[in-house]
Amino acid sequence: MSALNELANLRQVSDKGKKQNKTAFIFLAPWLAGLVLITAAPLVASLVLSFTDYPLLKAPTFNGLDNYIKIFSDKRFRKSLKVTLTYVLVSTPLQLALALAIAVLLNRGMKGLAFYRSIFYLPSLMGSSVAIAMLWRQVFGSQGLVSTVLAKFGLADPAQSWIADPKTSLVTIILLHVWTFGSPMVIFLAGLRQIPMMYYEAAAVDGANKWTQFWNITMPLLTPVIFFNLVMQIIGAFQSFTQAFVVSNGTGGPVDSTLFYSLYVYQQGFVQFRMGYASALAWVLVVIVGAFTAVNFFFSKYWVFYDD
Amino acid sequence: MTDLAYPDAPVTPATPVPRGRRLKARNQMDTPARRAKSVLKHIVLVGAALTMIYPLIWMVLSSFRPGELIFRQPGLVFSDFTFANYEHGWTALGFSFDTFLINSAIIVFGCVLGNVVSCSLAAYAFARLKFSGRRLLFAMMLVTIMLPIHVLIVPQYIVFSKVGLINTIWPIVLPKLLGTDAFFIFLMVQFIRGLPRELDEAALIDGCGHFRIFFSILLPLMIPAIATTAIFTFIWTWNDFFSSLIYLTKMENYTVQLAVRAFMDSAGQSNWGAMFAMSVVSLVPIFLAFLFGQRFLVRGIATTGIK
Amino acid sequence: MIRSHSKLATALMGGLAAGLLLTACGGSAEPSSTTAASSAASTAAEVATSAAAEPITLRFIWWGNDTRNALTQQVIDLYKTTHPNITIETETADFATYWQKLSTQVAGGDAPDIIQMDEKYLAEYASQGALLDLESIGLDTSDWAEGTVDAGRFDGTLYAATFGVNAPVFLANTSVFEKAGVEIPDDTTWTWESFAEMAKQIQAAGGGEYYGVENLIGVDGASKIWLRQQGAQQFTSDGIGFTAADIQPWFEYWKQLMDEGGTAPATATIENQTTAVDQAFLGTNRVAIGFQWSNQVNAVQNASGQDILILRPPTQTGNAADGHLWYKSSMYLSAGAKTKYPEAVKEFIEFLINDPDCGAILGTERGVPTNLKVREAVAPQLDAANTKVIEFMDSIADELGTGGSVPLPGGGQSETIQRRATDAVLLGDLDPATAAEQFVTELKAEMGLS
Repeated sequence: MSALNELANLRQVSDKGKKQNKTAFIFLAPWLAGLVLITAAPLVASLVLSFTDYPLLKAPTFNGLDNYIKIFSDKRFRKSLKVTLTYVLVSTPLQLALALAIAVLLNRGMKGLAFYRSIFYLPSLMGSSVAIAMLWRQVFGSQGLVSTVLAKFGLADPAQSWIADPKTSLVTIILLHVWTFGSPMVIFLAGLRQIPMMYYEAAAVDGANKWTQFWNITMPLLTPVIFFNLVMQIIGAFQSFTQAFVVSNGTGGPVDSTLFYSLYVYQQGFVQFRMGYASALAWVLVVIVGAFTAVNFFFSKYWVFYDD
Repeated sequence: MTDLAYPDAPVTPATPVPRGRRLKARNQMDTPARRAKSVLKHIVLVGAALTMIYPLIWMVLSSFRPGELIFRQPGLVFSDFTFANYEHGWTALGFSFDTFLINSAIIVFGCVLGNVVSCSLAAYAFARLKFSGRRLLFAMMLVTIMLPIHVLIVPQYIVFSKVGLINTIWPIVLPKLLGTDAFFIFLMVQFIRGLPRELDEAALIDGCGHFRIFFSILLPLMIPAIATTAIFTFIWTWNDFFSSLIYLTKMENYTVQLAVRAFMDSAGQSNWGAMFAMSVVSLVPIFLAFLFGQRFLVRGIATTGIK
Repeated sequence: MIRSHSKLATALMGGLAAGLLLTACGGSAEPSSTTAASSAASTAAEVATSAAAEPITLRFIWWGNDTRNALTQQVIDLYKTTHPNITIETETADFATYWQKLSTQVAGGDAPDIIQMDEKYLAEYASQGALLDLESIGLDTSDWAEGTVDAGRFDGTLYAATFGVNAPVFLANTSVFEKAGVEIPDDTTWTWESFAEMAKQIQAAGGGEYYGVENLIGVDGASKIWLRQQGAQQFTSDGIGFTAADIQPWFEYWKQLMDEGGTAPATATIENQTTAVDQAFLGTNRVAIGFQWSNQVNAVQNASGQDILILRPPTQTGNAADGHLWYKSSMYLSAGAKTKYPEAVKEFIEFLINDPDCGAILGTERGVPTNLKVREAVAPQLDAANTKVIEFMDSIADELGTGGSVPLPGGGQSETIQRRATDAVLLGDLDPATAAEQFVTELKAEMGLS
C-alpha cells in the first residue's frame, strides 16, 4: 500500500493552498441557481411555517415553539418514529446485502446476464404503481399466496392476513422494500464496472481464489459506492412513504403499525390540516436523518477507500 | 489491505489485457463439473426470478382478463382471454393514450438531459476542485433531500403559481435542469472519487484546463455512472405521480401515471382491467429504457482496457 | 475566499427573504372571513350580469373514475351548446389523492370555481373561508328532496349543494344465501339479534368458503345507524352526539359475533375494511350480507356478477319504523370563495342539479338525483339496478329518523380513529369498554372539544 500512500501525500503537498473558486463556481452554477431559485425558498418557508399554526386553507399565525413542544407529548409521533427506525435499521442492510450479492453474481462470466439483470430490476420498475397494493394483497392478504401455501402445511389459517396483522404488517412492507432492490443493484453493477480487470488477473496469477479476490479487491474498491448506497438508502428509508401509503390506504394501519414518519407528516398536513405541526415534524426528521448521515460520514474515514 | 488488493505494479496505466486471452482462459476451465454448476446456477436464478416477478405476471395476466373476473378469479387461474381492456383503456379518457405517452416522454427527455448535465458538472466540482465552503455546500445539498416533500409542496406550488407555470412541464423539468437532485450529484461524486487521480493530474501537467479534463478524460470514464443517472432519471420521472398530480391539472397535459390513475376511484368502482392494461403499456417504455441503458453499464474502463 | 463567502451569504439571504415573502403571500391570498368573500362575490356578480356574453372560463374539479369523467364531460359539452361563451376546464383525481391536490390549490390561491365536496371535509373548507355561501348567490333549491338543502349547511350557511342522495343499506348476495340454503330474511321485521343468528347459520354452512356477514365494527356509516337507533347521534351542530357508553355495545356485539363464528376472523376483517368495494368480501361473493351506501349497489352487483338485494338495516325492535335511517348527500358541489364569476358558477351548478337533460345523462352514477323533478324525469330510463335503488329510497321515506349534522372540523377523521380502536378490539388487544373510551377521547381531541 506504500506506493499509493506516498503518491497521495505528494499530491496533497502539491495541491495545498490552491483554491479553484472561480472554476468551481462555473461548474456549480446550475446547481447553485437551482438551490437559490427552487430549493431554498420552500425549504426556508417550511422552517418558518414550523413556528406557526397553519390550517392550510387560511393564513398561518405564529405560535412560537408550540409545535415543537407538542411533539414531545405526541404518542403517535413516538409510534411513527419507532416504526420508521425499525424499518430503516432492518430493511436497509437487508436490501443492500441482497443488491450487492445479486450484483456480484450478475457481474460477469455468465450467459444471459442482461436478461437476469432486467428481470431482477422489473419489480423496481413498478415503483409506486397503485397495482402494488393489489399485488401485495394477492401475496400477503387473506387467502393470499403465502397464507394458502402455509395452510397446506398446516402452518397458518388460510384466512390469515399478514398485512392486516399489526405483528406482521411492517414485515410485509420491509419485504416489499427489499423486493425492489433493483436500484442499489444497478449502482453496485456500475461500481463493479469501474474496478480494473487487471487487479483480478494479477491476483489470479498469484493464485488467489474468487473468495479472496472478492474480499481483497472487489470490496475495498467498491467502498465508495457501498457508502453512497448506505447513505442514500438510509435517507430514503427515513422518508419512505408511497409503499406504506398504498398498502395501508394512507392510514398507517392496522393500529398504527405501519405509521411511517412521512406518512404521519402527510396526515398531519393534508388530512388533519395542521401544516404548521407537519412542518415541525419534518424538521425534527431532518435533525434525526442529519445525525444518522453525519455519523455515517464520520465513520466513513475508517472503511471507505478513495483513489484521490 | 493486502498486496492483492493493490498490486504494486499496475497502479499506473499498463498494457490492457487482450480480450482474446481472457476468453481462452475461460474456455479451458469448461469442464463437466463446471457446466453442471452453471446449469444449477441458472436453475436457481430462474427460480428466484420467477418468484420476483410473480406479481408482475399476475398483473399482465389480469390485463387480459375480463374486468369483472380479475378479483373473482384470483391467482394465475386463467379462463377468458380478451383485448378489451387495452382497447377501452387506450381510448376511454377522452384523449387517446398516446397523448399521455408523448407528454411523459417530453418531460422525461428534459429531466434526463438536465440531470446528466447539471449533476455531473456539480459532481466534478465537489469531487475534484478545492473551493471555499465546499463541505458546507455539500452538507446543504444533502439537507435538501432530507425534508419530506409534503411540507415543501405547498410553498413550491405557490412559487410556481406566482410565476404562472402551473399546467406546464416547467415545475417538473426546471428543478432537474438546475440539478436539484442531490442523489445523482452525490452518486457521481462517489464515482469520480473512485477514479484514479493520476489521470487528471497528468492532464493538468500537460496544460489541460478543468473543462478539458472533465469533458475529455473524466466523462468517458464515467459512462457507467452517467448511464445509471440517465436510467434512473428516466424511470423515476416516468413513474412520478405526485408532482404531475399537483402541477399538471388539465387532462391534455396528463402524464402516463396520472392517466393510469384516472381509471381508479378508491371511493367507488374502479376500472381495474383498463388500469392494469395501461399499467402494462406504461411499463414497456421504461423496461426498454432499462434494457437499452444497461448496455452502457458494461462499458466501463474495466472492459475498455484503460486502467 | 471572502468574496465567495459573501456570495454564499447573499444567496442564503435571498432564499430566506423569498421564503418569508412567500409565506406572506400564501397567507394574504386567503380571504379570512366569509363576509369579505360574499361581498366580493356580490360585486363580481353585478359585473358578470352586466356583461352576459363575455367569454368566461370556469374550473371544475371532481373525483371519480373514467366512467364518471366521461359522463361529466358529456354534460359539459351539452352545457356548451347553450352557453357558448363559457368554457369549463375540468380537473379530476382519484378520491385518495383528490384532497391533497385540492388543498394545495386552495392554499396556493388557485382554488377551482366549482368543487366536488365530501361531507368529511366540508367543515374544514367552510370554516376556513374557502367556500362561497350558495344562498347569497341565489341558488335555486326549490325542487330539491326534503332535507337535501340542509344537508349542505355548516354553521347555518349553505356552503354545499347536494349533488346526489343515497342511503345506508344492507346488501344481500343471493347466491351465498342459496349456497348456504338459508332464506333471505324479511328486512322489515329483523332485529340485530336475529341477524346474528342468521350470520352464524350461514357461516357454519359455508365451511370456510364464505363468511356469514361483513364485520361492521369499524364502519362508521353502520355504527351511525346503531347510534341513531339508540336515540343518540353521531354528530351534532356543536360536536358529537354520543358517549363511550353508547358505542360500547356496538363494539361488544361485533366482537362476540366474530368469536361465535358469524364473521370473518380478525385480520381478514381488518384487511376487508380497507379494501375497495369491488375487491371486498361482498363483491367477491364471500359474505352473505354487507353494508354499503346505496349508490354502490351497481358496483357490488358488477363485481360479484350475482343478484344483489337491497335491504333495510336491522333494528333493535323488529319494527322498520324504528330504523332511524336517513338520506345522505353522496357528494356535494361547492363554489370556491374567490371565484370571479359567482353568477356563472351558480348557473352551472343549477344546470348540473336541476336540469332534466343533464340528469338524464348523469343518471344515478353520483347518487339519486337531488331534484325531485329530475328524479321523476330520469326514473323511466333507468336500468333495473338503478330502479331498485330509487324504489328502495322511496320505500324508506316514511321510516326516516331526524337530527344529526355535518361533522365539525376534525370529525372527518372519525372513521380512522374508530378503526384504531376497533382493530385492537378485534385482535383482542383492547376490551370494548377501553376501546370505546379511547375512540371518544381521541375523536373529541381531534375536533378540539373537551
